[in-house]
Amino acid sequence: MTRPDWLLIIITLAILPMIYERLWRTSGEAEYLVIYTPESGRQQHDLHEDRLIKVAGVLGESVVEVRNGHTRFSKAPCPGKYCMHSGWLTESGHITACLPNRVSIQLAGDMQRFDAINF
Amino acid sequence: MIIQTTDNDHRIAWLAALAIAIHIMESSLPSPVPGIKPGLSNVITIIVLIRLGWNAAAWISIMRVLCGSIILGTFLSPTFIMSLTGAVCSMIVLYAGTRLPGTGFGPVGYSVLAALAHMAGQFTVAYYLFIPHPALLHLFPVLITAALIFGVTSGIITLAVINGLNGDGNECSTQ
Repeated sequence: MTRPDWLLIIITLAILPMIYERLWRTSGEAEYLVIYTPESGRQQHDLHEDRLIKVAGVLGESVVEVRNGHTRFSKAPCPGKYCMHSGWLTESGHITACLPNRVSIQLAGDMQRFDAINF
Repeated sequence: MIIQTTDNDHRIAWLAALAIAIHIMESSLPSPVPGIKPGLSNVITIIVLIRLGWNAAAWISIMRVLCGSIILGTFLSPTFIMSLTGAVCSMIVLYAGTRLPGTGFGPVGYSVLAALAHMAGQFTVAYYLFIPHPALLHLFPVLITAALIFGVTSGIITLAVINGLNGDGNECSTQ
């Protein structure tokens, strides 16, 4: 192995922790709900009030339910309904995506214990 | 009209066939995370880069992606676009790598460069074209780590193969 080989590997190894640090932050309570839709992109909603949020996706309307600071897809126009079956999101970092309808919901907070949780 | 082919064309075709075979064998390996695979056909690209130069390596790389995708049935699918982006990015970076003054990179350095460029290029396309969601970014560090590990691994394999070729005193002969 030549010297540039070693140098390249060492530099990459040095940069790796920085990438982890930057993209993998640590966590806590969910403070708000983030909904991504194909039309309006990222939208932030608070979790204080229990309600149903209707959003437009590619296939039709998805309904996002907010209750007790938790959230879920309660209605979706997609064929598989995987988004609905994945159930309630309870912690900051929890995320569910409805790929056919191109809508996703995520619980987020300034302090996140997990970056993303999926089942 | 008969197209005249040169020995060099034949050599590139043989090596491309080898790369395609490795590519296809590898596609049947299960992967824990989408996007992570050893990239062993990279070994052929790097050997060709060192023995025959960048042009031949670029041909083999592009032919591998085209023929490999046609055989696997992924031609013009997202998989193909990702694969092509990866190949193009690694070839661009490898070109820059060959221009390095001084001792220059050995097989391991080239392999790591190619793997990192491949992964970074693919990830960028995946993020901007297919899944523009911030959650995807969480995967990036893992993918780059895998790229580094597999880059070093296939670099060491390349080194062994090149040493073997040098030891026999053979050219990359296809005749």
